[in-house]
Amino acid sequence: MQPDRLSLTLSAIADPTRRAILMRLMDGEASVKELAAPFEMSIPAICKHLKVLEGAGLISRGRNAQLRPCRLEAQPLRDAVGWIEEFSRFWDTSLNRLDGLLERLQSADPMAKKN
Amino acid sequence: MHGDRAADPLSQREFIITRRLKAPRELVWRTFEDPYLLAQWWGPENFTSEVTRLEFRAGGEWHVTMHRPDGTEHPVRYQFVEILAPERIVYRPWRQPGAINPPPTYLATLTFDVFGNETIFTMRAEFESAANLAVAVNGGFREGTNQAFDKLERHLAAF
Repeated sequence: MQPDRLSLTLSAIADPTRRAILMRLMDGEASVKELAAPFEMSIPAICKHLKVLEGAGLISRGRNAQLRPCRLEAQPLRDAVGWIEEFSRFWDTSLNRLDGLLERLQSADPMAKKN
Repeated sequence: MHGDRAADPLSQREFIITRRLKAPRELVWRTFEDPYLLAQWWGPENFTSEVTRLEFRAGGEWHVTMHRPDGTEHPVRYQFVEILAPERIVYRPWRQPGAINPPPTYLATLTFDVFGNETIFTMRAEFESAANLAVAVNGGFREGTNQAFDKLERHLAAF
């Protein structure tokens, strides 16, 4: 069973610290130490957040050396935003049409009614 | 605590759209209940919809085939969870078991409130583990996500 990727993404960005980390990574890759600096948090605490972000596919980490710099993987975030946008557009469009239909039904347009 | 992930408060998992519809509630209700009327408004821009099944009761299924202008078809299926005429419809999308990276599932609650001779319609989509989207909006993600979030912002209740 595949995990629900959008839920995973949204859940990962629910946390303000994790969002701040993502914001920082938009400016380029960074080491754990660099990421921890602006927060009053221990390295292990930051690492926990990084694990969540990595699990959601929002960041990737270099394999070489001890530094393992983190970098942003933007696609899941784009997908999440795209889906929500599509969902909201679906309802906007549908309700606009419903507005029109209700108007026609009330003006007794025979085309709008079933016989 | 159940599981290792604490559930986000409901207000942070909800996506809400509200509309004031210029028609009495009974008429608005009919546009959901009657498959002929439903097909006339339900669906994305430039698509036409065909309601192929509408079992309008709790546990009943609701199948729609959406036709794109280029002829491709998108069948979708939902299941009604609750129907309380003429006030509330609750349903969830059906997801194919084992599908790779399926769209998220959600529970949609549609409410119809009388407002004089008009109706206040509310669509409330509750996602299983979704997050505080409103905060994400305020987080101001860049790289093309900003614009999308701006649009999204208008539809979010939790601020």
